Amino acid sequence: MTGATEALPIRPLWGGARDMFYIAIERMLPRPRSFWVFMLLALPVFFGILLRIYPPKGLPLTGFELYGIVVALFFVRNLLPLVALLFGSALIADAVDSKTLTYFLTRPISRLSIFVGEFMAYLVTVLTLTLPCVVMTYLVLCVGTPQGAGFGAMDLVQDLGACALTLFTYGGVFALLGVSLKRPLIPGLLFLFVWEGFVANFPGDAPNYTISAYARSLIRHRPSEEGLAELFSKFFGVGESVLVLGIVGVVSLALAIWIFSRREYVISS
Amino acid sequence: MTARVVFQKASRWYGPVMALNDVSFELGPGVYGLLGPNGAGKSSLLKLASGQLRPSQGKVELLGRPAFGSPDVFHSVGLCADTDAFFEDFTGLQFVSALLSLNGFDKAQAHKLAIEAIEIVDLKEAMHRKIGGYSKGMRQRIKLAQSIAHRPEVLFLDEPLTGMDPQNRKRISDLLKRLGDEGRTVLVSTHILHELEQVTRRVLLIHNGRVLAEGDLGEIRDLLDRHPRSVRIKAADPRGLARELVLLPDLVSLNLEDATGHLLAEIKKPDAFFTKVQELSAKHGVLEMWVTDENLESVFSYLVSK
Amino acid sequence: MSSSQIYEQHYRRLDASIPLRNQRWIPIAREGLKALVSFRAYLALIAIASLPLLVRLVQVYFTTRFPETRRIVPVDDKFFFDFLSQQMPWMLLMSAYAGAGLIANDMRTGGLLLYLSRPLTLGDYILGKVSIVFASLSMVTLVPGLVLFFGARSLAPDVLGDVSHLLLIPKIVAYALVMILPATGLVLVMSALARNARFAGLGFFFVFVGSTVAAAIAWRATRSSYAGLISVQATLRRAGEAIFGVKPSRMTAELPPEAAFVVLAILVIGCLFVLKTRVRAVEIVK
Repeated sequence: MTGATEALPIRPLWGGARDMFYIAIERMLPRPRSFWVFMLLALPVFFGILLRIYPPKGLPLTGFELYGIVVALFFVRNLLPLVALLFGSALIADAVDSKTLTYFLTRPISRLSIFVGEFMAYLVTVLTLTLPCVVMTYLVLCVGTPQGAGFGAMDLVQDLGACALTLFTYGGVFALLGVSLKRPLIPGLLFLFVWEGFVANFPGDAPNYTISAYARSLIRHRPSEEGLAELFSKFFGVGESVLVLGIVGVVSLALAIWIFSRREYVISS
Repeated sequence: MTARVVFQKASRWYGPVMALNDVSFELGPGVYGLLGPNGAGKSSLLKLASGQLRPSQGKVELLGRPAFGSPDVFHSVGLCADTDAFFEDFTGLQFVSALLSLNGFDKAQAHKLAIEAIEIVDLKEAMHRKIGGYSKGMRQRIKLAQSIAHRPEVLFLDEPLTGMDPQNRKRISDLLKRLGDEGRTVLVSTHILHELEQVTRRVLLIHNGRVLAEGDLGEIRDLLDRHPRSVRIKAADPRGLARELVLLPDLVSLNLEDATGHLLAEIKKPDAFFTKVQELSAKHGVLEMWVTDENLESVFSYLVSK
Repeated sequence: MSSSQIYEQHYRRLDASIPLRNQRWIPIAREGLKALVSFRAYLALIAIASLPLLVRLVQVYFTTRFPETRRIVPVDDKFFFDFLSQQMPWMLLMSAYAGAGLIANDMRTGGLLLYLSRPLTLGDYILGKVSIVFASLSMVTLVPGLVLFFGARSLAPDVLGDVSHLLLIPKIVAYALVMILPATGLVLVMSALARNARFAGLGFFFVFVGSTVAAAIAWRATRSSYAGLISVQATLRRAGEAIFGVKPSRMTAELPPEAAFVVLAILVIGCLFVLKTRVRAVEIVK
């Protein structure tokens, strides 16, 4: 006779995810790697402070234009996808590598709760590291300078939204990569630098299949492209970009959760 | 007996490698030892039992539900795995409390239960230190603490005594016995045979992915009727005793050990032999007599060689 | 009385001194490369990185069949400079793949203790690891560069057959070394600091990409060629332009090549210093 004891039900999604979030955020945010990522993201701030202290003669750009270059080129196009790859691909892969996943899989919480908690921690971490840097860059380059005349706060708010959506979408894609592959680093880098880096600047419909083209379309005050990119860059409407990025992010997350829920993890000493 | 852990013709393979082969057993309340050499399938068995893996064939049930894919059972199940893996930057108390929160305990309850568990494993003085600075034995104890903190009904322990000093081994062995006496199901995998014998007489012997034997150690030994028993006798007049015992028809061999002066006998029918020795005890000054191969190592060796 | 004796065998201290063997780093390098070569992904990366070499050889072949195309694709110093520069992304990928986990995994798993409990110094260990990365990066830069030269020379002897063209060999070697050494140093520093191969690889890319983007922004803001010194890639490229004597790019047109070499030398020395101080077998946890 089997002992079918009266068991407590599995913990609700929200409760399990919340407790997973607290554990994950403790392991993600107050860590040396987060500090160094923050310092890298804050490079434009240091650069801006240098420009304010030692303004070069005949600066070819206004503060606002420079801010636009930083947001479009530095954050949205290059650094934020790398940040998403760093933290997003590590969501479950980190717990597997460190062999701590067993602790989570032997608790009365669903795998969905585990994943949602980890992803929420990822979002809070990357937004905490990124958004203050964007705000500080704007403050240093635009506020209180003659060059900042005509610049509105709405553009900053939209840029923050663009950065957040970029991190959400890339985070979903790289979370899917991290759950599907044992070594997601090289495929992630190939995706970023070959697919997103080159294909986004191809002529025709190829950019329609990249995240980068939609992400940069969200920056209304983006700078003009240079070189070949000037000829071939394709831009979409803001509404269309938000919709596509949102869908890509959600679909990637759904796939990642589906794979994670079914996968077995053979973790041994 | 209400079985809490049920394996029914369960098999598990990794590619071409068969880790467990057609394993069937049931575990109720009490402590069970899981014994086998390296590569026997002990860890795979524990992973299947604790729901980390699904069986390639057959069925594995935990508290009446399939072990894999039923996270609700983990309210009542604890696992102390063999991997040395922790949140290194957490303190011992933070580590146990955090995992208790995943079990649904609120902050105050988790804190209280964590401290109780840490006290049981005698780590209270180090509970505010980061786990990264713990010694091997301390790491093992904090791992054990997280597995028992929520007072599970079923407990799986993979090599729980690794890295512990003798004092702590004794403490943990006593704890396991106590948990068994409280009616919990405890499955312990270990290589330290004599310490397992201190904790339990109920064993599950596994080799090459198959269960060789399960049940009480003495009963298993009795079943091995093909193998003679080994008996050691301490007597004042061992030679005189030997002259009389050598005439017994069921005696297989008789040796006089130079170093100790003890007689070592191998016998087929122990009851008749014991009766005879009793009769001769006064005449030849028999002081002590004991069976030397009713232990795990001997039983296991016999079974493996079958 | 017998003179025979049986001697008790017990522990005796060895008073002799055994000198350390020479070239103690070679087994580390050899085993590391053997381990890498056993991965199909490593070999695939080398194979894919060799595709541009094939494209270039086909280009050279076309210029021999259709000499008028030499005006569009001249096979000169710039041809080899462009080829090596275009190998840079493959070099970065190979650095991340082959180098990111080399020290990180040893420090995380305690493997470093195994090395240092042998008659090896920390310098031998670092030299062994450097050799692994150096050899891997050579497979996607130096070796294809030299194969391209000798292949092109044999395909187009009328263009490259002169003895003076042999000067291209030291130029190719020099530019390849200029690319390989800083990349090797940086990736191993990341590996030593991060203790996790994935973070080390990404940290390496952060430095390259982040510095390049920062330099691009600084240049657009100031139009100063010295902004190029912020970017590791731009600095490497400027050094290569000086080696091959080609016209510098717009961003670093006015940057003196000596500045590029000095910055790269400081980078390599800095990396070695960090490795010497950071690679430790034991970490004190407070």
